[in-house]
Amino acid sequence: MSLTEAAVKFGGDTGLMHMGWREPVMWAIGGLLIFLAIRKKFEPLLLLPIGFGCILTNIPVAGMMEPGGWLYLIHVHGIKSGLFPLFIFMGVGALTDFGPLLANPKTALLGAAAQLGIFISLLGAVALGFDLKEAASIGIIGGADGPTSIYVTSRLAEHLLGPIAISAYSYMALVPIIQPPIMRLLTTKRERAIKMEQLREVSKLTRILFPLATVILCALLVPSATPLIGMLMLGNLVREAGVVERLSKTAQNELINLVTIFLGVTVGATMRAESFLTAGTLKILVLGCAAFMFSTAGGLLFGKLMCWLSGGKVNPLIGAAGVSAVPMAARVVEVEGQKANLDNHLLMHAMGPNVCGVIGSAVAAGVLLAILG
Amino acid sequence: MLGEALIIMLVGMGITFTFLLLLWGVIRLVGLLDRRPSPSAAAASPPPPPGPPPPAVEDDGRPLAAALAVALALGSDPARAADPAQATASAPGTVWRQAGRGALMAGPEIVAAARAGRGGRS
Repeated sequence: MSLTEAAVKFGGDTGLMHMGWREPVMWAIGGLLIFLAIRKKFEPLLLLPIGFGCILTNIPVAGMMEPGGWLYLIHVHGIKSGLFPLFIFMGVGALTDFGPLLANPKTALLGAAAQLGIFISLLGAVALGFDLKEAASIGIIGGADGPTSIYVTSRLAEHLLGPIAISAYSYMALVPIIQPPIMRLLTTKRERAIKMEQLREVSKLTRILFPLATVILCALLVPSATPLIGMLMLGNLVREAGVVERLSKTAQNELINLVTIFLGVTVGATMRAESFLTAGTLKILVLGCAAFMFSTAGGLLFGKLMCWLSGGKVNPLIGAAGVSAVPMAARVVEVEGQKANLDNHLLMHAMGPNVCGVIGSAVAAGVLLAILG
Repeated sequence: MLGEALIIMLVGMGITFTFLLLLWGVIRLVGLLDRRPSPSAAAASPPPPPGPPPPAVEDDGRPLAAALAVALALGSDPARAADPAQATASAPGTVWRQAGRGALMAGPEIVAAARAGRGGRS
């Protein structure tokens, strides 16, 4: 081989020779996600690796997301198989204190009402021309639960994984901006000022029995949701048992952190220019926002109903925390409650529906998978 | 297809509500179990003794461990072991070490002379 031939061959293999207009646009989108993560602190744990994965996958010639590429391998074994979201759910379970829900179990219903956005946006997606499986994957954004969105989408409409994951995590970061106007619109200042009774203590026995009972209930009623609920409750049992501190700490830190890195990069890697730069992505972003808004509204309206039925003992604001987005949504409730009444502390009351929203969205996901999977 | 989506919505919301309603019931049941301590457990646990609680005694072997650590540290200090002049009287174990070394260095006749009141080797 002559020097000229080698130079020509090498030159023909550079990224510059294979690059179109789409790749730089996708790099810019990846850069924007990294900027939002670093500068604006928008879900940085996820958006940063997603942004970088987006840049990596749109590098021409490298073929990292082609069969045999390392991103492809992680994608197949971690996301397509559904393992990564399940591992994340175990970590979430180990991090979650279900005490507020156990102390005031009627708030579980708020976690159900706040799944309304999932199904309303499913209807909207169908109306906009998506098929049922795609519509269900888009709708699940309204559950405000990243791993659940990824789990459902990887099974029903894998080609939409990138925009749906971006939409889910972006709107979760925007909860403090999306929710307050809806809260003020749907509740009166008097309702927002309602102070709630202090929560009772929850014993260790209850905390240990809860995950076991929930898994059995899930297995009986919605078995298709058992992988998600099962891992969530396994993580929680490890936390509450008090005898496997090492496992609990591993689930809360090493496991969830490690999986988050690979999950983020691989989800970013699904953002290929040819599939991401379409009108469908824009529709998904709009529908995702609508899903969040309807979920918030569903929780608030049910909260108002509970307020009325309880004779004004339930502050309807806590219904807004029924969308998962733990603990951001509960914090927003606390802030809005204090704006109406400085002496009002709703955080722990809002944590009940908040953690139940995780269960509710997993159950809704199970229903969608059972019907459409 | 919109009709199908509507059915999915009704079924989905219905099952989600049913599940969480049942979960509410389960939590209530578990809570009931929790609030009623068993009579045998109540009888088995004696009432706390009157008066102030006994002072906490730290007899968990820590003083012994500390003493052993000091002894080992001193024993492994080659500078001090080679030059007894460095050993101060206040150092723990000094007397014990000097006595031990003296016994090792002294031959049997020196020990016998010392016992008889004579001087040692010059």
